[in-house]
Amino acid sequence: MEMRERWLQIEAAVEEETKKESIEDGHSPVKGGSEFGPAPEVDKMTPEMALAEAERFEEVIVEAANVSGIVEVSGFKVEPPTIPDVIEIIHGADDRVRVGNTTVYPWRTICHLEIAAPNGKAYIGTGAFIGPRVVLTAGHCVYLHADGGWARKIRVIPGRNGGSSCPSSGTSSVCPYGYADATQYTSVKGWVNNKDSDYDYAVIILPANQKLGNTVGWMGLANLSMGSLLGLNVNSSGYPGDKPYGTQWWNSNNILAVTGRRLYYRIDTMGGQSGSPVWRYKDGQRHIIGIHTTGGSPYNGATRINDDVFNNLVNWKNL
Amino acid sequence: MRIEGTVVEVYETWPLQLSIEAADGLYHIGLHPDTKIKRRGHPAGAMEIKDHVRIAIDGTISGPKALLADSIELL
Repeated sequence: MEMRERWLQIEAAVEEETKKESIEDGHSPVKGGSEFGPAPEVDKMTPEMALAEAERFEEVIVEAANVSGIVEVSGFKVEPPTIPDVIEIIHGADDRVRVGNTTVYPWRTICHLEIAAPNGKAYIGTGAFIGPRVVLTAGHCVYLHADGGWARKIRVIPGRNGGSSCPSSGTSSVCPYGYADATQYTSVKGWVNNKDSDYDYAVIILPANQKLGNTVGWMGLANLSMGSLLGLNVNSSGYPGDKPYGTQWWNSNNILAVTGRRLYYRIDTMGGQSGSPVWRYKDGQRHIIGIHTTGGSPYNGATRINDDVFNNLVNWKNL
Repeated sequence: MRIEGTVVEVYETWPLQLSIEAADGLYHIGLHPDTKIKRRGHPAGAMEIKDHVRIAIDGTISGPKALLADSIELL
């Protein structure tokens, strides 16, 4: 099937789905300062741009060997993009850009996570506020199957900007909003019981007296249709382990494949960026549409905010 | 314990977590910061652990179908 024909088929098929999109707006309590960080965030691609990108991509993968995943659209299936057998997580040049000022919105809503596993091991991850004391992240940041289950403690540091440690109380230039130690989490059975990466998402609930979200704000949430997601240029920012400790790095790229529960893109990522928000910036509004979870070949991936994820998050955000 | 399998997912915490498909099912693997990663006996980087890559892991059982990796050989 020709790529253009496929695209038109997808557009037609998701028209009904598009009508069911759900949006929950974010909150930015602090006025002033640039809304932009290291570079202008990207807006939605036009369909023409998306099609050009898809055609370019298809040209690139003409000699591909592997096929995985099915793009399901409103009850029927179309052929998935063919997946080339390439072996990079950083796709080509590393395009990540350091966020210099993490005290402006939305960068301050993004959190460095220091995770203490039940067996004593330490991990680094990323999260993002979605409510006054609720931080969205990956399921594997709070429930670690190889390390004994639920994290013993997670230190949540909004807008961290380097430094080896935060002061035990108050704020500092590298921990501009201090931190909160959390021991309460919520995830779903699909991840906790079934170890299914399609359900790899969770929230961290901060202590009731540490509603740091009221200070830093949060981005909104969006459950977008497949038609809106394919080709969409999205942003992600997090705390990779291969960069100076506790520094935040941003990147953006297009969504190249979508399933009912996953998003795939070539945003450059590394270990430590699990749980990073993947968001759309459109008409001055930011809405998280996925939670970064995995590096892979050829795509990196996120848990998609679909109907049930969106409904869960809306229910959890005001815990 | 030593198991062999194919990488299914690379979870991007730091250090990484993996799921691999072995002969007797899906395993979850936790790496240490000092987990030794090798290819044909030579040191390799964590970035070389990718989906679809076959690996052998020496490590400690940490739960049902769960392992903490002391070393990983890229096969």
